[in-house]
Amino acid sequence: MRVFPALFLSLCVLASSCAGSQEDFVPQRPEDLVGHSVAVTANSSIDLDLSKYEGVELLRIGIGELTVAVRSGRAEFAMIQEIQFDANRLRDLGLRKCFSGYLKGNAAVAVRHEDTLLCRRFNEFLGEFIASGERDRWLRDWSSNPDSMAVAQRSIPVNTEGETIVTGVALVYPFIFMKDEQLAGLEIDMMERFCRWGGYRAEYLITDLPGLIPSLNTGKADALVSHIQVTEERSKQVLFTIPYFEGSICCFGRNPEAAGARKGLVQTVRDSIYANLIMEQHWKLLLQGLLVTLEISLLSILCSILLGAGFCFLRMRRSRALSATVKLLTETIQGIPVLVILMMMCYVVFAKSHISGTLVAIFSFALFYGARFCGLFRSGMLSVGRGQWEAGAALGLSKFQTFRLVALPQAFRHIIPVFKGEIVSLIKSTSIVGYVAVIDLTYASNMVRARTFDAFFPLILVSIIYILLSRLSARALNAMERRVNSKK
Amino acid sequence: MYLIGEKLRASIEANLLTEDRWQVLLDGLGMTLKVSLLAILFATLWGAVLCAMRLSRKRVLSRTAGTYIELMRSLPILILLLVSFYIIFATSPLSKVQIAVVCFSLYFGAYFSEVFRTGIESVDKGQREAGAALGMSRGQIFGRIILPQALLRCLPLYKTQAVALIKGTSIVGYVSVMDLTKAGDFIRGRTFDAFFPLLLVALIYLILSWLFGAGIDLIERRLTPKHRSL
Repeated sequence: MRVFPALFLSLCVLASSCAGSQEDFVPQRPEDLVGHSVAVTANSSIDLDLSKYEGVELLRIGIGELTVAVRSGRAEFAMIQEIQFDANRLRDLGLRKCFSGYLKGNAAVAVRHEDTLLCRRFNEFLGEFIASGERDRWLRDWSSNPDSMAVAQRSIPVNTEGETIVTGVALVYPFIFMKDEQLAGLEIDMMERFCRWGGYRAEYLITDLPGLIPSLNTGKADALVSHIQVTEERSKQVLFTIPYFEGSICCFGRNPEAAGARKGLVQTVRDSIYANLIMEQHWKLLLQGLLVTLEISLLSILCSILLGAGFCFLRMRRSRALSATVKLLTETIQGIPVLVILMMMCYVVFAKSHISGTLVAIFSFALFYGARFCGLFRSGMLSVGRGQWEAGAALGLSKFQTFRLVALPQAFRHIIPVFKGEIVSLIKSTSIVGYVAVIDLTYASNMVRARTFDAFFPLILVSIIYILLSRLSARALNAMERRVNSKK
Repeated sequence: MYLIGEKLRASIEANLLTEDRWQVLLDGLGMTLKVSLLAILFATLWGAVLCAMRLSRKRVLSRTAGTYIELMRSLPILILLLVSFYIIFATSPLSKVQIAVVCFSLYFGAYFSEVFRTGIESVDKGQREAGAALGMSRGQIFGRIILPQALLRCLPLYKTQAVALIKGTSIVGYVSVMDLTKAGDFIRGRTFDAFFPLLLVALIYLILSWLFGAGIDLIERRLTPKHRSL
C-alpha cells in the first residue's frame, strides 16, 4: 500500500522535470495573440471578446487556475484584471505584463430588477463614497498591500444589526478572499462600509463566477458584489447600481529573464510546504476540505444504500406498474453523468431553496448511487434460489424472517465484490462537488493553488490523500467481506 | 397549455436559436463523442495489454500491472486529469483534447483489464484441459476456446464500464475541452436559464448511454450461440 504514493510521486517529478524552453515574444495587442495559447476565465467578457480572433488558442478555465496555467507552461499567456496582477505580486513569480488597458469596463453592484429601493440606497452610498475621495484611497490601499489591509479590515467591527442582505460573492484575490478562515478583500470591505452606513447586516453566499447571476435571480442572494462588469446582456437580467470600480484587463506571460537562480531540492520542498500548507493556514483549509469529502462520502454511502434498498424493494414487488416505473427511473438516472445530476440538483431542483451545497451533493450522490445499488441488490436477491425461500417457509419462518435470516446473508455475500468497487468509486467521484462551489478536498486544493500558483504540490498532496482514502476504505471493506464469508 | 407552449418556444429561441447556439451544443456533442470513442478504443487496447501482463507467469509483469491497476482505481479521474494537464503533460505538445483522451484511456484501461480478467478467469479450467487433451497449442486454446467464451461473459461488465467512460467525459470541461456539458454551461452562462440547457444535456447523455448500451446488447445477442442459429 505504501508503494502507491511513492510511485505516483516519482512519476510526476520525472515528468515535470522535463520542462521545455520558450522563445522571447511579447504581444502588444490582442491581435498578436493569434497562434498562441491564452488562458482566460471561462464565459467571461474576455473569453467572448478573444473568441472573435480566429486562431487564438483559448484555454477556458477557472479564474484561480489562470496563473497556474502560465507558470506550469500549459498556456503561454493569460488575461486577468490589472489589479490582480499587482496585488498578487506576479512580477516576483517570474511573470511579466505584456500589454494592459484591454477591455476597460465598469463594475457595479447588481440587485434584482424589482429591488429599486436597495439599488437607490447603494447609489446614495456609492455616490458619497466616490465624491469624498474615499474610493480612490480604498482602491490604492487594497491594490498595494491586500494582506495588511485584510488585517486592518478585521479590526473594524462588523455590523450585526439591521436588515440582512445576502450578498453573493465569488472568491477572487484581492477582491474577495479567505484569510484565516474569514472573508476579506476589497469588495468585502466596501460592503461592510455600506452596511455601517445604511444600517444593514451582510451575510455572504460564496459561489463560483458563473453561479452569481442565477443565485440572484432565484432569490438565494439579494445583491451581488463581485466586480461584475456592466454589459447590455447582463442589464437585462439584473439591475446595476452606479459603478464603483473601473477595471481593465492585462495580458501576462512568463519572463524569460527572471528565470533566476535555481534553488536546491530541499529548499524548494521547504518553500512549497511553507507556501501551500503553513502560509495563511492553508493546512486548515485542506483539512476542512478533507472533512467535507469524508462527510459527503459517508452520508452519501448511507443514504444511497437506504435508497437503493427502497428502490429494490419496490422493483421486486408483484405490481407491474410499480416495478416498471422504478426500472425506468433507475435506468434514467444511470444514463446521466453524475456531474450533470449534481448541476441539475443545484441549479434546477434546489435552486430556490436555501439548503447547503453539501446537502445538495449528498442528495445527488445518494440518488445516482441509489439507482446503481438498486440493480446490484436486485441481482443479489435473484441469486438466492427459490428453494431457499421455500425451505424457510417449511421451517415455519415468516416471510420477513426468511428474508433476514436466509436470503439477505446469501445475497450480501454474492454482491460484496461489486459493492466494494462501487463504494470506492463513490468516494472518488465526490471530487467533482467543487463544480457547485462545495469546498471539498479537491476544491480546497484548487483554492490553495489559486493563492500560491504552485501546480505541483497541492495536486500531488491531494492525489496521495485520495489514494490513501481509497485504499483504506477498500481495506475496511475487505475486512468486512472476510467477516461475512467466515460466517459460513 | 398555451402558456407552457409559449414558454417552451421562448426557451428554445433563447437557448438554441439565438446566435446559433445549437451549433455550440452540436460541436460539444461531437467533442464528447470524439473523446469517448477514442478513449474507449485505446482503453480497450491498453486494457487487453494490461490484462495479458496481469495474467502473465512472469512475476514482474503481473506485479507491475497489478500495482498500476490499483493505483488507477484509487485515484479520482478528475485529479488524474488535473495532474496530467498541469504537471505531467504541461509542457508537452499534446493538445488538451489529446490529453483528455490519453487520461481516460489510461484510467479506464485499468478498469477494462479487470473486466477482461474476470471474463477469462470465469472460463472453467476443464475447458483448457479439454483443449490440451485435443492436442491444441496454448495459443490455439486461448484463441479458439477461452477467448470466445470469455468475451461473451465480459460484455455486460464491459458495457457498464464503457457507459461509465462516456458519462465520465463530462468532467473534461475542467481542462477547457468544450464538450457537451461545457457547451451546456456556455449557454447557461449566456442566457442565465439553468433549466433548459441542463435538461437538454441530460437528455442527450441519456440517449447516448442508451444507444451505446443497446449496441453492445445487440453484439451480445449476435455472439450468443443460442441466438446465432436463429
